Amino acid sequence: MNPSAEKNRQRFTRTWQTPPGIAGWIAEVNNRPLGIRYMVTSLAFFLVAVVLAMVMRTQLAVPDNNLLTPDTYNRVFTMHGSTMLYLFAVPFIEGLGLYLIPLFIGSRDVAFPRFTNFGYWMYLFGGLTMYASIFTGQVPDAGWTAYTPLSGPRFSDMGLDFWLLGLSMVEIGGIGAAVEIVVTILKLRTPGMGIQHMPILVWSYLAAGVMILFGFTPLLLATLLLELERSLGFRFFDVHAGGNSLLWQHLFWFFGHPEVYIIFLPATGVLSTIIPVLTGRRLVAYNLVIVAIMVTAFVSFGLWTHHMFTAGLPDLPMLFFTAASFMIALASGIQVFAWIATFWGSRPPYTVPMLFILGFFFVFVNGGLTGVMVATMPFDWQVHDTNFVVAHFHHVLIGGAVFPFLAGMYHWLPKFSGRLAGEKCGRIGFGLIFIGFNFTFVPMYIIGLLGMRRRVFTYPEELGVGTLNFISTLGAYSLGSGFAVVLLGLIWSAWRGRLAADNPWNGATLEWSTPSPPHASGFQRPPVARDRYPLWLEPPQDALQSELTRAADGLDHRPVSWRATLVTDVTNGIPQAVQYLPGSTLLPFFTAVAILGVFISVLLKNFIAAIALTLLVLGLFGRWLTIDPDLPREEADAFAERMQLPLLSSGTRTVGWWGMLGMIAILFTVLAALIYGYFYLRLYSDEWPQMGLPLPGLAGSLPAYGLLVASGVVQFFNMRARMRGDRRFLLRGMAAVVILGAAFTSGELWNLANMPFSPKTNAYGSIFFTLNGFVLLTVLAGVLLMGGALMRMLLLEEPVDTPRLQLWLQNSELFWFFAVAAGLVAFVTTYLAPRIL
Amino acid sequence: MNFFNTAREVTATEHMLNPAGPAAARIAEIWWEMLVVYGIVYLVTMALLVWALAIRRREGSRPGSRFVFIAGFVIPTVILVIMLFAAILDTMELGKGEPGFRVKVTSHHWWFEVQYPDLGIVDANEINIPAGVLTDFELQSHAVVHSFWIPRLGGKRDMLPDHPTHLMLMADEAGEFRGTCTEYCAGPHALMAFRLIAHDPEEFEQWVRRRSRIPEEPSDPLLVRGREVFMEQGCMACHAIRGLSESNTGPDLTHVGSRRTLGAGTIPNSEGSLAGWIANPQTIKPGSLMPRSFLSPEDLHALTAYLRSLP
Repeated sequence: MNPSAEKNRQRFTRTWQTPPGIAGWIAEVNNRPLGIRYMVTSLAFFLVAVVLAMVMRTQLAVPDNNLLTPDTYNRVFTMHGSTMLYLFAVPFIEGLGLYLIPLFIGSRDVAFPRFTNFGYWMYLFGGLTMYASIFTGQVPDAGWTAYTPLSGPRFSDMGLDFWLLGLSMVEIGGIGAAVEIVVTILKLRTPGMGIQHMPILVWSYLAAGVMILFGFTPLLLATLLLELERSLGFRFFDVHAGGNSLLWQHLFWFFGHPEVYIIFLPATGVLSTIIPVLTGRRLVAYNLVIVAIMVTAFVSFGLWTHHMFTAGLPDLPMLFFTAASFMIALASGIQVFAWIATFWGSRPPYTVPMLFILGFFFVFVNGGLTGVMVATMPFDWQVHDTNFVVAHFHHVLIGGAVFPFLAGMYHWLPKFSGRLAGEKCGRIGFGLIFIGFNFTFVPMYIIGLLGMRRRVFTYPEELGVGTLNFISTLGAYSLGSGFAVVLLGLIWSAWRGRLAADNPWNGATLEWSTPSPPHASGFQRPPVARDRYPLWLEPPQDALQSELTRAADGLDHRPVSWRATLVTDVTNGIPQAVQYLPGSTLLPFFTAVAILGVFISVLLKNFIAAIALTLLVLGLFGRWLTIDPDLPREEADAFAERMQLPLLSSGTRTVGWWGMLGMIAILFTVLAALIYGYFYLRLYSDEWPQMGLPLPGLAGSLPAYGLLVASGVVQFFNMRARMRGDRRFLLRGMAAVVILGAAFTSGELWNLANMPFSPKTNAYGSIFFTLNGFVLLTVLAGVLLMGGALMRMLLLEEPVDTPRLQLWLQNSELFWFFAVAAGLVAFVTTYLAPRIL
Repeated sequence: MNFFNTAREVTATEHMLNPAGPAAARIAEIWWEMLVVYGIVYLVTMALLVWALAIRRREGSRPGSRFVFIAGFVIPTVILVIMLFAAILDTMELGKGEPGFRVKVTSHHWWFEVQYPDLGIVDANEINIPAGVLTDFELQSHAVVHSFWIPRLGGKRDMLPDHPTHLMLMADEAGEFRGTCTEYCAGPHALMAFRLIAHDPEEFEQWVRRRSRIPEEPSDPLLVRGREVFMEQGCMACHAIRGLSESNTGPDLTHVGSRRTLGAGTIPNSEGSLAGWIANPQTIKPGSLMPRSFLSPEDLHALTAYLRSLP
C-alpha cells in the first residue's frame, strides 16, 4: 500500500473516531457507542425495577403482611411497571436497533446521528426526572397506566408531575429514535439490498418504528393534556366540568396495546435472525413471516379496547376487539411455526442463546394462549385486574421479549465488545431464570383464578392463596438472581472474556462481515448485499454486480474529511446519492439540557422561566437546522467525479426530506388524536358547546382562515416557481406566505383571546383551545421554517437548484401544506361542525 | 410479619371456579373449555418443537411454507373461529334476562354506599338481595374509577365517575359472598371490599321489614351517652344514622350493629374490633379517610355500645 493511501486511511479513521475526553463522550453521535449506551442505561433501569419487584414479592409472600404500608407498595409497583415499560423495554429495543440496524443493512450510521445523541439525553434526563420524585417524598402512585381521575390534580400529588414530565421526555427521545430507524431502513441500505433482501430483523424494526410513531404520539399527547390539566387547570378529564375519565383510557390504550407489539416484534426479529444461524439454514416461510409482522403491526392498533372490556361499553361492538385479538394471535402462530419448521431436523447446538430460545417457546406460547383466553370477553370479565392477567403479561413480556433479547446479548456480544460471552454464567443464569420464572408466574395464574386482585399490597388469609404466593415469591428470588448472574456474566465477558473472531457463529448477515468490534465507521467499504443471507451466498457476477461494486469501491475509506454513507433506492437498493452525516457536536446535548430546564420550570410552576427556556430551545433547534455541511472543495470534486453520484442532494434522495415526512406524520397523529378527543367529548355531552356557551364566532375566524387558505394557494405557485428555478417569484411568494401566516397567527390569537370562555371553563373550552392552539403553534413553526428559508435565499444568494436550498424549500413547503391542511381540519371541526352536525 | 402462619392454609372458596350464580357458572365452564382446547394446542405445539429438534435431518422431507401456513394459520384459524363464535354466543347469552330487583351502589374513597331505590333503604359495604332473582346493579363512582366484582356470581364492571354502568347478577341460593373493588384506586385499595348476602324470599322480606324501621331512641343510660358522644365528637360530620345525621362522606351507620364487617370488609365486626376501629382506624386500614379519635375509655365504651345496638 502506498504511503498516501495509508495516510488517507488514517484520516478516514480519525474522521469517524469519537473525540477524546468527557466532552467527546457527551458529544458522541455515532450509532454504535450510543446504541450500547442506550442498552446499558436501560439495563440499569431494568435492574432497579427487578429490585422493586423483589420488594413487592416479599410483601406478598404471606397473607396480611405489613412489611410495606399500602402507600409504599402502591409507589413501588407504579415505579416497577413504569420503569420496565418506559425506561427499560422500549429504550432497550431502540438501543439494540440503533446499534444493529446500520450493521445489518451495511450503513455507516443512522440517518440523523445528532438526533441519536439528543434522544439518548432526553431518555436519560426523563428517566432521572421520574426517579427524582424520590427526593420530594412524593413518588408517583397511580400505576403505569395512570388512569384519570386518580392521576388528576385532585387525587395525585406532585409525584405524578415528575412522572408525566419525565415520561414526556422519554417519549420525545423515543419517537425521534423511531423516525431515525425507519428512515435509516428505507434509505441507507447498502448497494443491492432491495426491499425483498432485507433481513427479518430489519422488517420487524421497520414495523416497530412506524408503530412507535403512531402509538407513542397519542401517549405523548395524552401526557401533555394531563399535565395541562394538572398545572394550568384544563378540564379534559374532569367529570364535574364536562370532561370524561374514559378519554384517558382510550388515548392511553391506543398507545398501550401497540406498545406490547413494539416490544415483541423486534424480539421476533432477533429470533428470526439467531435461529437460522443456530441451524445453519435459511428461515422457512420468509414471506409469510413478513406478512405476519405487517398484520401484527396493523391490527395492534385495533385492539386497544380489549383492555376496557369491563368499562361497561356496549357488549356486541366490543366483540370486534375479541375478534381482532384472535387475529393477532394467528400472526404470532405463523411466526412460531416458521421457527419450528426451520428447526426441523437440524440438531442445533445447545448454546446459551439456544437455551433462551427454548425458554421463549415454552413460556411465550403459554402466555400467548392465555392472552387468547383473556381476549375472550366473558372470561375477561372475571379475570380482568386479577393476578391471572399479571401472570399472562409477564409470560409474554419476559418470555416473549426478555428471553430473546438475552439470547441476542449472547449472540452479539462479540460485536458489542469484541469478546465472547462466557457460557458458564449464561447456563447457570438461564437455569435460575427459567425455573424461577415458572415458579413465579405459573402459580400466579391460579392465584388470579382464586380471586386475588392485582395491585393490592396484601390479601386476606381466607382467600386461600398463601402457599401459592409463597412459592411465587421464592420463584421471584430465583428469577431475580438469575438476571443478576446473566448480566454480571455479560459485563465480565465484555471486559475480560475471550477475544472473538469476526464471525464466530458463521452468521449470514452483514454485521458478521465486520471485525469484532466493528471499525469506527462500521464499514470502511460498504458491502454489496443481494441476498437475505449475503455471507452464505456468492453473488452472481453480472452487470448489476459490477455497478454495485463500483459504488461500494468508490466509498472504500472515503471520503476522508467528512462522514458519509450511501443513499439507495427504497425498493431495489440501487445507489442514488451520497449522504453527508454530521460528526460529534455538543449542540444536541445543550438542547436536551434546555428542554430539561423547561420541564423543571413547569414542575416548579415557574412559567416565566419555562417560556424563556422554550425560546432558548427554539434558538438551539434553529442553530441545529442551519448548520451547513462544509465539504472541502478539492476532495469533494474528486470524490463526486469518482462516485458519479451527488454528494449533497434534495427531495426523496436525502434523509432530511424523509425526516420531515416523519415529523409531519407525528404532527398528523397529534391532530388526529385531538380530533378524536374533541368528538369523543362531544359524544358524551348532552349539549355542545357545553354549559350553554355560544358557538365560536365566524366573524373573526372566517377572515383569519381565509388568509391561511390564501397562503396555501400562494405556496402552491411557489412550489411551481421552485421547480422552474424562478428565484424572483419565490422571494416574493415566500415573503407573501410569511406575511399571510403571521397575519393568520395574530388574527386567530386575537379571536382566541376574545372568546367568551377559557380552557378552564369546561372540557369543551379545553379541547377547543388545545386544538386551535395546536394549529397556531404549527403555523407559527411553519412561519419560522419558511422565514428561515427566505432568509437563506436573501443572505446566501445561491441559485435555486442548490441542493441544500432546494431541501430547505421542499421541507418548508411540505410543512406549510400540512399546516394549512391542519388549520382547515381544525376550523371545520371546531367552528363549522357544531353548526352543521 | 407473620411468615410462619402459612402453615395453616385455608381452602379457597370465594373464587370464580366455585360459582354460585348462572353468570359465574357459565364463565367457569368457558374457562374449563378453553383450558382443554388451548391446553391441547400448547401440548401439540411443544411436541412439534421437541420432535423438530429430536429427529435427524432428512433433506427433501423438510417442512416448508406450506407446513407453516397450515400449522400456523389454517388450523389455528379453524380453532379460533369456533372459539370466537362460542364467545359471541356466550356474550349474548350472558346479557339476557329481565332484572327483578334493583340495587344502586356508589363507590367512595375505599367504601361502597348501597341504596335500594325501590325500598328506600340506605346501607354501606353490605348488599342484601333475594336469591334466585336477577338483580340489576346500578354502579357509579363518587370520585375515581373503581370496579365492582363478586367472583362467585359473575364478572366485574367498572364504576365510573362519569355515568352509571350496569351489571346483572343472580345468586342461585341463599348465601354470603365476598366482593371487592378491582380497579386500582390508590391508598388502601387492597382493603376495599364488601359482603353480598343473598336471602331466601321470606327471609328477605323479614330483612326488608327490619331495615325499614327507624331506630328507636335508646333509653339505657350507656347508650344515651354513646349517642351523645356520636353527636358531640364529630362522628356525624361524616356518618349518617337515620333520624340523627345525614352526611355520606363515610359509610351510613344506621345498621352498623348488624353488619358483618368493618372498614369495608377489612375486619369482622365485634365489640372489640369496633372499639379498636374507632380508636385508630389507621392501624387497621392505613390511608382510610377516618382519623383516629381521642375519646376517653368511658366515652369509647359508650359509643361502641351505642353503635352495636343499632339493628
